[in-house]
Parts: sequence; C-alpha cells; structure tokens
Amino acid sequence: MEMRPGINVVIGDNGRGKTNLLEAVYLLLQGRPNRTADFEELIMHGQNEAVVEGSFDAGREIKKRMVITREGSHRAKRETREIQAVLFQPDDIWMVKGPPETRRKCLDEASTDVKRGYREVAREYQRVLRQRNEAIRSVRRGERDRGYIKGWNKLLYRHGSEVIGERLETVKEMNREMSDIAERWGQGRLELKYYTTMGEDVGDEKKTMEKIAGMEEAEIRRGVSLIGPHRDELVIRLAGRNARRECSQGEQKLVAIMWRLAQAKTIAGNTGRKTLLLMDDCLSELDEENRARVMAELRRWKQVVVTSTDDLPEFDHLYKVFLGQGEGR
Amino acid sequence: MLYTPPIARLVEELSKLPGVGQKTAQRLAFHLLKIPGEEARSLADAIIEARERVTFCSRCFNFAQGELCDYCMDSRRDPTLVCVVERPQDIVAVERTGEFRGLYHVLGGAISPIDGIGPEELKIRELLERVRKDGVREIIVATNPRVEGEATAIYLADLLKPLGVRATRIASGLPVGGDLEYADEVTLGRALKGRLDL
Ligand SMILES: [Zn+2]
Repeated sequence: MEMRPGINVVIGDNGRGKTNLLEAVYLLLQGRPNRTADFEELIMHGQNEAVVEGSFDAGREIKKRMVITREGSHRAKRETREIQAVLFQPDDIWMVKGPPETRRKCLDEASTDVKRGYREVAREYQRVLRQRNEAIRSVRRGERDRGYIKGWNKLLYRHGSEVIGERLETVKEMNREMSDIAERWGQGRLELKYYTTMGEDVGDEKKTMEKIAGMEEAEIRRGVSLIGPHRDELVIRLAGRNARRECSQGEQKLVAIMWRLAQAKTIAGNTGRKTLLLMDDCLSELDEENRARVMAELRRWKQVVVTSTDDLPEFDHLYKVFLGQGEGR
Repeated sequence: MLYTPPIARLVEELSKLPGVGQKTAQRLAFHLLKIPGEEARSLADAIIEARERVTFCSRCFNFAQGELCDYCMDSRRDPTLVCVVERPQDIVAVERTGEFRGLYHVLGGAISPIDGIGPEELKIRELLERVRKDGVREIIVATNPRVEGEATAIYLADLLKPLGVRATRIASGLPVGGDLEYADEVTLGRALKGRLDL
C-alpha cells in the first residue's frame, strides 16, 4: 500500500482492518505498540507471526521491518528514529473524560516522545514508588519500624520532583500548541493546568519533605504512598469549563484531537523529527463545521493518514485508498 | 533431548549458575566431556578449594583466606577511611581505579523492601561498630547507583552524621541504574575524586 504526501484517507467498513493498518504503521515507527494494540488480532489465523515492512522518505529512504509474535514485537534490526508517529484513536476521548490516571498516562506518553531521558526518569520513580509502598506495608504489618520508610521519603522527593519538572515542561509546550489550535477552531480559551499532590512548594525540598513526612501516618493506614506524581492531576479547561465534567461529548473529542495534534507539533519542535499523523476515525461524531476545522488543520501537515467509513465527498484534494474484501484483513 | 544420567546431572547443575541458560549449560557440559581428564579434575578441585578455603573477613566482610582479608591486613592502607560497597566484587571495581587507599566494608546487598531486605539484614550494625572502635573519620558510600543503593546511602548518612563522621557519596559520572561492577575505571576514578557530602 502506498501513501502520498498530504491527506491520505483509508476508507472501508468496520472490520476491514483500518485500525490494524494504523497500528502497524505506528508500531513500525515507534518500535512499540500503541496503548490498545491487540497482537492476536494482527496475526493471521493459523500463523505464528506477522511481519510489517515499510519504506519511508525522510530525505533519504528509510526501510523498517518489525516482527510481531503472540508474545510481543521486536525490531528486526537497530534503526535510527528519524520519523515519529502520533496516533489518534477514538478511545482517546477517555483522556479527557476519564479518571486522572488516563491523563497521566497520556502526559507520560507525550513526555517520553518529547523529552530525551524521560522514560528513564519515570521508570526510576516507579521503582522508588514500589519500594516505598512495600516499606509502608511492612511497617503496617508490624515487621519494621517507621525509620524503614524515612529513607524512601528523600528518594520519593528527588525522583518525584524530577518527574514533575519534566511533566511541567511538557504541559507548558502542549498548552501553547493546544491553545493555538483551540483559538483557530473558535473554541475559546484552552488551558492545561498541572496540579501536583506534592504541593505548590515542590521546588522547596525542606517544605516538601515535611509534607511527605506528614503523610506517613495516613499512608501506613492505607498501605500506599499518597503523594507524588503518581497521584497528580492534569486539568483541561475549555472556555472556562472543566473539560472532563462540563464539556459535551463532541467538545471532548475535539480536545482529544487537539491533544494529539499538539503532541505531534511538540515532538517536531523539540526533536526535529518528521512526524507522521495517524488519525483513526477522527471525524465521526463531529458536526460539519468541526469536521472542516479538523481537516483544515490536517492540511497543515506534510503527511497524514485518516481512516473513515465514508468517502468524505465534501472534501477535495484527498488521496483515497479503499480497503476492499481482498485488502487489509 | 535426553542424556544419560551423568550428563543430564551436569547440565542441570551448570544451568543453575547465574546467566547460564539451558543451551549454554549443554555447550559447557559437552566441552567439559571433551577436555583431558586432569583439566576437568583441576576445575572441580578449584571449585571445592575456593568453597572450603574462602571465608569472610571478620572486619569488612570481603572474601578472605583467614581471619582478615588482604586489604585489612595491608598496613599501608588508611584504616580511618572506609569505602562501603554492596558486594565483594564491587571492591574489585574500586581497586581497579587505583585512586583509593583506605579500607572497605561490604554490606552484603542494599535496602530493598520488595526483596525483604532492611538494615537488619545488612552489615550496618557492624559498620557502626567499626566507626566507634577504629576511629574512622570518613566513609565513602559506593553502593550501586540504583534506587536501592541510593536508599541505602541515605539511610547510612542519617546514622553516620550524629557520630561526627564525614559521609560522602561517589557522585557524578556513574550511569544511573548501573552496576558498580561494570563501571569502567576512568568513570569510577573520576567519581571517587568528585564525591559529595551526604
Ligand atoms: Zn577485610
């Protein structure tokens, strides 16, 4: 299958493999599956593995190949990451209307794509958290004294504030890009605000350490660490309303699309990598006006792959690929 | 694949070694069957001798051949300067730098609640005893730069400060999440020089 510059629309009924196609391209470029990927579905019935191969033009030709087995995926060989993919999926609406955890995950994903070394920083924090939680539980079981937790407080602060610092930078950049788009789309003012459970004084080690120590009692009761980036919240406000609770389904979908577009923009700005936008079913549920807005935004990109169940007769200059019975899956 | 019992037993024993999988164990077993008999016997003897003759130093818990290890017996070394490491093999890494002229203290691991290892499971009480008895004035904490090593360093610093001992941590240059054992000499040497107060 060949894609052209500009907007490519992959058209087909549900179950024709549109999502699989985008997931395969994502996997090929990112070297990891997207959040909701189902390996079983990518492998043909009766086969043990699936192979995805692609050739990309980033000034020079870049060939990529990925082998997918039922256990996972692996790259055939080490490659450079000159091109990056950002994938929008209808499920992304949960990042707006779901619990804080879904927004933290998306923020972590964006930070990983945008900031060098974030993955390591986040992983170390997770390790500290697991250790500290276990320390708390052993104190709760009466096996250790309170001093056993104390050493982990400093690490919770050190690694936690590092995660928060990186996230704040990502939020700042995402906020700038998203509010630009919101303005162009006439949606009013969009604002991202990160609230940390470590408190406003997270930059002040002494104050924050006191706060962490002050939580110990409650933490031993609950058996879990109660403050740190793993419990922080990212609030998205659109035109003065909390997008999670006070926006319509349509607005929430728009915000999720804005998030992905901003993520792509931020990656391009930070890493200089070419970014391929993969938009799975991004136009459904939107009214005519908003469809036009989204499409106009996508035209600003060098290359976009959009999936759709209808063939979008109202837009011109699209390269259409029809997924029939024989193609895809 | 099925082997005759003696080979199967050898493969099974070898596969228990760290980093040795089934395949490597088989390869090693076949190699051992090919070499001359006295070479195989010499290897077996070396294992048994090491097991029987190597003990732990009663002062620093490094490997030793008697009461004290080679470092603790070396009178040219400064007994008031102690480098704390997690495992005996970490000493080798520090020694390779040629930058350190003090003694060691092997903790036997790092604090890790997930693995059920707390201060009581490590040779921390023994370290404090040394501080009181041997007049130690500076302790360099060279635990691995993983979070467990960091937690151990913080725990030690809290204990050592009230005793009036200077506690430092080897700082920059070591890869985060890495192993001391695999750090190269230059980085570790630089890290030893640039140690920070804990
Ligand atoms: Zn010794």
